[in-house]
Amino acid sequence: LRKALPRYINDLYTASVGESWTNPRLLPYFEEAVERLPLQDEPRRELRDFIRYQMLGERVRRTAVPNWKPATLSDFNSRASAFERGAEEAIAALARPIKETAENSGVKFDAVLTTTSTGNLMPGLSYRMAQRLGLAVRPDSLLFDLANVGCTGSCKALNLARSLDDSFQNILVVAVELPTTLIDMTGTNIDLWQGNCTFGDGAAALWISNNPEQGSLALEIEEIRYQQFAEKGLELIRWGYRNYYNFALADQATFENDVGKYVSGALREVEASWRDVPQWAIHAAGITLLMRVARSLNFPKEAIRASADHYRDHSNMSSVSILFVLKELAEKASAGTAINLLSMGAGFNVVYGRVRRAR
Amino acid sequence: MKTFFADKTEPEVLERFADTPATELLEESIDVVEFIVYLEDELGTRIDANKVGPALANMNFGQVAGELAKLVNKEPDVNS
Repeated sequence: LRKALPRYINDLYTASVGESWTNPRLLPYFEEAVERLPLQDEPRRELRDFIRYQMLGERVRRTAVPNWKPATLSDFNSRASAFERGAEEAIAALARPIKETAENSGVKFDAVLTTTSTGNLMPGLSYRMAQRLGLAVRPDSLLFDLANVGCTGSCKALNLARSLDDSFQNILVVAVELPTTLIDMTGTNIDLWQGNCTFGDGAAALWISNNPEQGSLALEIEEIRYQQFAEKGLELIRWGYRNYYNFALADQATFENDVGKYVSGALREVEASWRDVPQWAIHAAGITLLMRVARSLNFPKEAIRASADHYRDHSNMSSVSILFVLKELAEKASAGTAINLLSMGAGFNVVYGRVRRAR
Repeated sequence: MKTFFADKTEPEVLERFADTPATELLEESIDVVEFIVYLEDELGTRIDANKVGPALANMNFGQVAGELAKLVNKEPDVNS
């Protein structure tokens, strides 16, 4: 792997999949499910209060699960099938504008790099995207699927694209995350319910090349820094297993303390890169975490605004969220404007990056 | 607690502050987090958002003051 010429994000595509559910629409189903759980009165009240806190306000998420009802996702088959159907829908929605762009500009993608952590497919997403794009992907193009990378997956794929040598002129990065296929209302753990309440589905793609004249954005990828904390952070976020995978965290106090410490520490190491750049595209991991990190590093309050707005409008879409936020900011940015990227997730790891509009 | 809302809340609501459900003034999760951060600054101690958050989503401010007092071992004072 060798990098020589600068890389640019030439275009950024987003897809809203499935059906929209607001907190007020979803909460009654959750409360009904809590009433059915085998719990004593006090832990039941605690869980119900926690869920009401997580579901405060009018926040929206989309779900790729059709006709979603509590019994829709009952076993491995129903969940894995819902993921596959949703992934196909997401890939189709992304492929339409990408194919049109490729046809209009005569672009052939030398690599298609995909990522998801919220389901498993074989063949993978890269093959499914290649099929949809037809002649825009050559028979000898690199098709590569990243998996099990958590919420930093899209940034890792972006970093991989940036690291490929110059023979890879046009690269497509695709992130598809459908965490609502994991919703499980039959468990009693707080972290399982935090996952139920927090996540939403979505998909996004980046067209990356070494030609700033292509596409509508021309965001130069100036820097990507990656820090992993596997030695101590392995248990912070991981899968639990019931009849499928489910979201599990270390105990709440450890999680809050350690995640905040790792993210703040990683950012301090690259402070010279971000200190004078006011715009931030941050993974919508949780408002409390973002607020605490921002305060510990003396970010202006506005730095987390775009991510907080994204969380209200879409919830946490895992690795897709940061791409939605970046698109929102990049489209409004003028030439020369830089945008910081910050993502964090299972491993534990933290990715910092900076892009700048070249025109 | 009341001070946090002084500039952005109708006087009638502030008069019955202790009986006001917290969700009446804290509509979105970011409002709750901003309020918790404000309380941390005022009380000079770290507050576990997962303990106070559920109280804010389910109680009135008088009851929240009681919960906070338990957390920081102080007498409840809704007006401070």
